[in-house]
Amino acid sequence: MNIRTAIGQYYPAKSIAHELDSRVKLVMTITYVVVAFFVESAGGYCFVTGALFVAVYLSKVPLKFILRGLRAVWALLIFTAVLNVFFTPPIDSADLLLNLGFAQISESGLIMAAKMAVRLMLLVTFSSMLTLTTTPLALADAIEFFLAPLAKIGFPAAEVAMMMTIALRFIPTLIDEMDKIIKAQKARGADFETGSLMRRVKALVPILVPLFISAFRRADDLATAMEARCYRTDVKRTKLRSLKMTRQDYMAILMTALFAVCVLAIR
Amino acid sequence: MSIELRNVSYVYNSGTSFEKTALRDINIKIEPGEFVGIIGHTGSGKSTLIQHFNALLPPTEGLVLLNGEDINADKNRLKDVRRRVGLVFQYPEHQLFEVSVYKDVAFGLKLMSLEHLEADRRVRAALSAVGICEDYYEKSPFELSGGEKRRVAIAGVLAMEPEILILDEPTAGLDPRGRDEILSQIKHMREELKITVILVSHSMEDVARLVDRVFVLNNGEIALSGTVGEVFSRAGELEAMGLSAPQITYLMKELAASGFNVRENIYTVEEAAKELLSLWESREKQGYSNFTKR
Repeated sequence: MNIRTAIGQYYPAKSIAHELDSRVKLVMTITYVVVAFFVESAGGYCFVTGALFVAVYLSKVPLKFILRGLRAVWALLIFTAVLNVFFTPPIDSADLLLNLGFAQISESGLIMAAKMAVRLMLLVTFSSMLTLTTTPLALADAIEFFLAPLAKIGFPAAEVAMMMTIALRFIPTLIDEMDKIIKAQKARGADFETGSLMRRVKALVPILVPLFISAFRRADDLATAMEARCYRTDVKRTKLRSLKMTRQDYMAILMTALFAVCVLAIR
Repeated sequence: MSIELRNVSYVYNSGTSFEKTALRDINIKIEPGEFVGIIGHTGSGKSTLIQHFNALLPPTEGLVLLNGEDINADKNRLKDVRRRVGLVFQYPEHQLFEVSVYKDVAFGLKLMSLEHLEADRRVRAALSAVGICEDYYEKSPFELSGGEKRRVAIAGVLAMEPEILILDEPTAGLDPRGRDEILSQIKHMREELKITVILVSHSMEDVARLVDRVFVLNNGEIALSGTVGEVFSRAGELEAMGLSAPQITYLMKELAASGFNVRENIYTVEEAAKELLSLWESREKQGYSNFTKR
């Protein structure tokens, strides 16, 4: 199934990037994304791209998997680039390259388009590094950690975290289920590949109805199982795998801070 | 219609780090009208194997031949292949979706652009073949019992009038009554429709009772094959693969070992009953008043 190999599916490997605490990785990713938006100069771009390559190298994830993530967003890349080319107003007449009447193409527009495309590529690639090296559950744990302070103002942090964890846990299960249903319907003559758009949309009914029924059944079973084990959120729950910061993690934070300072200095 | 797998191998996620060989050099030939069983441990490749018969999975290597023709050769004919080779998956009731039993069974036919009368005839024939009577036609498939749902789902495949019917664990998760119903319907169906049936099962009892020939799959390879007697007489090898002979075979072996004059090569309860009865009768003739050891 190609759904499985969409952007940022976890890639199991043994590497420093995989071992890092998921909270640290989340902070690193957010820092990178924010900082990358400040970059203006060519030198700055080289620097952030270099940092990305270091991260990719350390993660031991094959380049092929990372590029696959980019393939999923190429439409977005082109769209942003085109918008920037056509709708960046020229600064002065020297900047203007071509006047199409409805839009003006300028040198600054082309530069802007290129910058945005590179930025987006960097962002997507770096964020996919997060999901490629972190299991969904570890990621949910990290998000829970950062949401926890919100519990004080009445935000249901534990519940939201549990919902996230369950949702993530069931994605592969439901994909498997869907795979099976598609095959079963194909075996009794269904056709999902040919016909008009309308016909193809209609062809989804025999997949979606059984899929929803099975999802509801699973949800029901899970709720019963959780009740049977006395699940409740009004008390603090302990974890089977609690997140622990190691020296590596502190080093990573230090490097990230250093990186952010450097980028802001170079721009 | 004969179906043949020739040197079929299948590799999941070929070319990635998740690569896994599921089938290795499989050779199977099934003649028209045969009733064949496929047994194997969980993860032995049974489900992967049967999806080759109707081209849901194309082999990584090798050929799948339907009457001598490669079924994967022409993409446009896949639908035709899937109509001729009906595959009923495990828990087929999970594929039900229509508002009524009748409509659900007619689902595949609707896409075949059949004449209305012909489609109606086929739906009725399929439902009667699995023993679902007319009172059920307008019921929602979701209000039926587990065994009934399953029979309706099987009818959905039968309505396509396949020449080969493949059933993957048709009795899984059913209570003994639902199980007996399904099995006797399968037997009845085969005799009436004269189609080739391939039965995948965990239950040695079911296989011994129904099929003519057995293939044993182990780690993606055909480990044993032959008639029920040939395969189940090798209980030791089966046990090494995490399988077994039917329970009744073990009972008869123990009886023979403890001195009763019974055959050991018995694989069904019916055969065993006959054997014990004839032993009983022969002893009565000989003047024994009760059923004791020699």
